[in-house]
Amino acid sequence: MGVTLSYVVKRIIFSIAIVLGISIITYVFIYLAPGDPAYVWAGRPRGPLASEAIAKARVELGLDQPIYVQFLLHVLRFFSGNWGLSIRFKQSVFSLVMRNFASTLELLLVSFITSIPVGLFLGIYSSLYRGSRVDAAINSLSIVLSNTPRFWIGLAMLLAFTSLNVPTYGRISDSFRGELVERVGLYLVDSLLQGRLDIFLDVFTRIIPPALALSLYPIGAIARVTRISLSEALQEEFVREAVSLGLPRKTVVYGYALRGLIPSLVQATGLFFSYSLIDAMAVEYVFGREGLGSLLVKAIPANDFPLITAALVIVTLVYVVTNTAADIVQALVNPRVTMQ
Amino acid sequence: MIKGALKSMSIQAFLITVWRKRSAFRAGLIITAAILLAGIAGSLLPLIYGWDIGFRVVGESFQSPSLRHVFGTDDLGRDMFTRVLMGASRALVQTTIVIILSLSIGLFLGAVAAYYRGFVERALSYVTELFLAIPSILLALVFIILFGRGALTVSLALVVSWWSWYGRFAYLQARAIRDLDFIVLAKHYGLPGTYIILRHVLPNIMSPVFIQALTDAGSVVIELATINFLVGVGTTSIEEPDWGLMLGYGVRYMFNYWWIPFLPGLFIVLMALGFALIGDSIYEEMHPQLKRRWKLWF
Repeated sequence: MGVTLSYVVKRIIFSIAIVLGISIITYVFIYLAPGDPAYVWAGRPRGPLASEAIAKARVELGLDQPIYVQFLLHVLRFFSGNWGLSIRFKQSVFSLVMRNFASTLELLLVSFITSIPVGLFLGIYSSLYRGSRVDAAINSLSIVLSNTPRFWIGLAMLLAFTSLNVPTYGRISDSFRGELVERVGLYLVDSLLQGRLDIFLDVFTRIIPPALALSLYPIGAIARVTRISLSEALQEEFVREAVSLGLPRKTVVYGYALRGLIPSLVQATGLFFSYSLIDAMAVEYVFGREGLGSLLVKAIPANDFPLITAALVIVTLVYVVTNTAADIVQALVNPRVTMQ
Repeated sequence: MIKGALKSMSIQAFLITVWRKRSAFRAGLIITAAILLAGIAGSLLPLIYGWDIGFRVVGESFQSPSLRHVFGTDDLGRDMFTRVLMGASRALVQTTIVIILSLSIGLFLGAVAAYYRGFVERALSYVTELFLAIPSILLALVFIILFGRGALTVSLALVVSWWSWYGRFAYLQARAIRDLDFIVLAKHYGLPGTYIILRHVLPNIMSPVFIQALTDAGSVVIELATINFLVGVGTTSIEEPDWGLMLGYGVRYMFNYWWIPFLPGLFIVLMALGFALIGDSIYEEMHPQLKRRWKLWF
């Protein structure tokens, strides 16, 4: 256990170092960006007193300090949850980003809950019938699925559902928006907590098409990874041994061959999850849902640097946290590490 | 094993075998050739007809697809077909830039990290891991804010994040061969490090990394399109005939004029699919041990 623990600690420290490095990079880049945020903060003033207003805004935003002081303040505020005010929306950045992130996360989770079993099933099936027509069909399907832009499929789905009069645009129907009490931020959970099945059904029908569009990539990618690694595992000595002992096929495949693949499959799924985040940002915009993507699109033209930084840091955090978690799970599951 | 497959026959002979045995490879090559043709046409058309082609025609906005405008026209009355063709050459140039630049950076840094060990290895590993963790959309947005929108900006942003993939892969490959005799001997012989890396390390890690690059060329296309899509959504008008931008910008017209966002997207799908089919069939052919020999046991 000692080896695993020290590995976990090391991995976490490394991840923290990466997050720090990324926040330095983003802050420096956004500091260098053209377009004066103080000018926007002061309300784009014109006339004789304009320069005075801009100077005041500069002090208010802390832009008169040297860059390292600004960055230090930025980091301190970041870890205390005080992310400042959005320049465009004049609201707390933290609550804005968190509210929108919950929406994106809900979409991602729903799409992964469906796509992991489907992808695994396709992958196992095609590696068991490797070389047959079924395998060829599944393989080409997974190539097509993982190489189609998700926002384009989402667009096609949205058009199809709208022409069938199924309400899919937006996250929740306008009439329910006022009635829902947000507690967790995930509308599916919130509506159930409130005991309103009609709201739940509305939210659920609206999340299915974008989640479906989003799940195409993980389905294809998981199927591909499973197929390749399971085919390799089935060549191993211990599988041959198990077969020669006369164990049933199910035990050999699921109990022996697939078991050894769990760590690498977990890691690959973690990677696909973090990739899908950007897809989710594009897809949710197509479907008119609130979320990080829609937020970012509105923040960019306004040079809203606190909001842009915060949204991007969240995206990066998801990357780092998912990959760290996947690595740690891999170390915990892998008997070569834990049995020491 | 990959090297073995390559050594036993020349590259041409190998490609001919793949062409004969795999229909996916043929389909991929045909699609890619069609996109290439479209790209050539798209870059020649403006030269032949003058730069006006694909630009606005007053009174012909929002025409649905017809014989006159095969793909319809957009909000400013520009012929979508011409713009989609022009987008093909743009997409091809962008993808080539991204793959070539990030491959060379990744290969070189990976080999250097594995060869020099110690501090260099640790520092380069950290940098690679750092860039792996930065989403490319972040870099692209930052680059767009810094340098303005353009074909080159997005490609360069993608290079900055994409090289780390090849870097890690090349590093793992190079680490596997760095203790082999020919490299140790070259070191004892007193040859300079850069010479050993260029002459002995790189040629031996090149082919697996190239195949890796070929298999995910399709993802480069999609990544470029996704970034341009998110950028295109926020803009008020677009000049550049970029598929991702056209799609993102066209989303606002999707309910009434479906062809404006839909058709550029179709071409993104085709291009990504073409690359993926080629890469996948080469990968399958290179890993013959994956064939279902084990099936005999049941």
